[in-house]
Amino acid sequence: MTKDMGSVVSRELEGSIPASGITADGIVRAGRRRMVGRRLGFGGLFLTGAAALTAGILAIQPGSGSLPAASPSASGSAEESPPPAPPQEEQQAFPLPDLDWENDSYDWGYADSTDVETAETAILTERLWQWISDYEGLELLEYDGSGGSEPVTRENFHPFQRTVQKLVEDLAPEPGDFSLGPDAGYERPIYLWAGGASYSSGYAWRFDGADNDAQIGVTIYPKGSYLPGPKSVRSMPSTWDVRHLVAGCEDYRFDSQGRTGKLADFSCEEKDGPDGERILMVECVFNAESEWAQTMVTAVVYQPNGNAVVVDGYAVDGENLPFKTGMGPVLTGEEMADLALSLPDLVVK
Amino acid sequence: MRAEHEAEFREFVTGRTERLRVFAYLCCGDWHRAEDAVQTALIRLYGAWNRARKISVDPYVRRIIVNVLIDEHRLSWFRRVNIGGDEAGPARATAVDGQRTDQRLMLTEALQHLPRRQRAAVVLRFWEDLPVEQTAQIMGCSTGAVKNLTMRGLATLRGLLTDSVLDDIQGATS
Repeated sequence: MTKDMGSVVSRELEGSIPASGITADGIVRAGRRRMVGRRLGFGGLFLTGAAALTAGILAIQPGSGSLPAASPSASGSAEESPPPAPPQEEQQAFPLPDLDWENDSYDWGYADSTDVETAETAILTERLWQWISDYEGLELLEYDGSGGSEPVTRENFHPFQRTVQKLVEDLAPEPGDFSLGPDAGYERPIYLWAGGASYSSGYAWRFDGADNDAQIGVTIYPKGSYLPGPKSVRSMPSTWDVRHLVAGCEDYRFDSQGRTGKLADFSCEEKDGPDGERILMVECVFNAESEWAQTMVTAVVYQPNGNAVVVDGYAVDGENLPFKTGMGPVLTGEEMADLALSLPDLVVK
Repeated sequence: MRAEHEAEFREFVTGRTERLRVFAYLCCGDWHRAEDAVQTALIRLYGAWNRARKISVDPYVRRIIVNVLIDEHRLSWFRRVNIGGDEAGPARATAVDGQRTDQRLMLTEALQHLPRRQRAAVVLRFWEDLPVEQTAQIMGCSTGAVKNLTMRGLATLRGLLTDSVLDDIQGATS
C-alpha cells in the first residue's frame, strides 16, 4: 500500500519539483545568526534591565553586607528616588583547602538543611526563566505524580536557592559505600537550581513536541571554590570525575560495581566568552563501549568576578533499555554555555 | 558547533532537503510554504544538532516541519524567512507533461482537501512509510488518534480520487 502511494506521488511530482533556494551554506549561516541573535537579544535585555535590577537589590539592603533569607518582594517603586550608589560589593573568595586530593576521598555535605531564596537568587531565577522562555520551541513540563504532566509557568517555576555546602571526608570510598567522616573544615555558599524539587526528579524538557526528561542543574560557585585544576572535586576511583578538572582530557578505564574496564570517553573544549569569560565544555560518555551509556555534559563559565557558573546534565542512552531509549542530554554544551553566559555575575555569599 | 559536527549537518542538509521539501509540500500543497517550513526546520535543527544527531534526526526535523505547517498557533505567526536573498523563492513547477500535471492534481489536490492533521497522518503513514507509533510521536498525539485520523483521511480520499488513481493505489483506500 505504502509503496503504491509513494510511487504514485513520485511519478506525479517527477520533473515538476521546483528548484530550491536552500543550501547548506545558507542554513549554516542562518543557524549561526539565530544562535548569536538569541544570545545578543538576551544580552541586550540584560543591559537594559541591569540598572533596575541592581537598584532593586540595593533598595532591599542598601549598604548591607547580608541579604534577607526570605524571598524578596517587589521593591524600589518608581516613585522612590534611587539610593545613592554604594561601592560595588566585592565577591569574597572561598579558596579550596589544601588537602590530599590524590589519596583521600571527600564529598560535599550541607552545613544546614535550609535552602533559602535571596535577592540574588530571585534575579537568577528570573534570568533563567527568561532564557528558557526565549528558547524557541522549548517548553518545560512537570510530572504531577499520577502519570500526567503540567506545563511549567513562571508562577510555578522552581527558583534558585542559596545553600551552604561543607566538605567532609568519605571514610569508605569503595563503590556502593559511603561513610561520613569528619568535616574538612571548609564551607562554601552556592546558588543552586536543580530543575525541580531535586536533581533526580526534574522537569521534562519538550523540544518541538519531543519530551526529554533527562536531568539538568545550574549551580553558581563563589570565587575560588570551583577550580579548573585537578581533583577539585572528590576523588573516587570507582566513578568518573569531571575531566575538565584534569589536564589532557584523556579517556580512561576504571572499575565500578564489580565490573572492570568501563570506559569514560571525554570530549573537552575551552574557549573565551564575549566578555573574556573562560568557558569550559566537557562531555563524558560513561560505559561508552557497552549496550547502554550515560552521557554527562558540563559547561563552566568563569565570570569576571571569579565565580563559576556550572550547568550540567546527564542522560541515559541505550537501545536495549525499556526506558529513556535513545535519549540524549537536555542541552548541548554550547547551549549550556549560552545559558551560563546569560546569568549575571552576582555576589555569592 | 564543532567542525566535524557541522560537516555532518551540512551532509544532512545536502542529502535530505529534497525529500523534506516534498514531504512538506504534501502536507501543505504549496511549494513556497513547504520551502519556508523546511528552511525553518533546518535552521532550528542547526542549533539542536548535537542533541538531535544522538536520537533520530529525520523524525526530529519532520516534527518541526509538522509543527510549523500544522499547528494553528504557529500558523498564526508563520512568516517567510529568506536566507538566500532570492525574494522570488523557488521557481514555480512547470508542466512538462500535460498528463502528468493532471495526475498530480488528482492526488495532491485530493490530499489538500483533507484537514491538516488528517493530511499529515496520511502522508506520514503512507508516503513516509512510518509506523503508527512514530507517526504519533511526530504529531504529538496518541496512536489511537493516528489510526483515527488515517482512517478518516483515507475515507475522504476514497471519495475524491479518480478511478485511475485509485487503481494505482491499490489497497490504500480499502
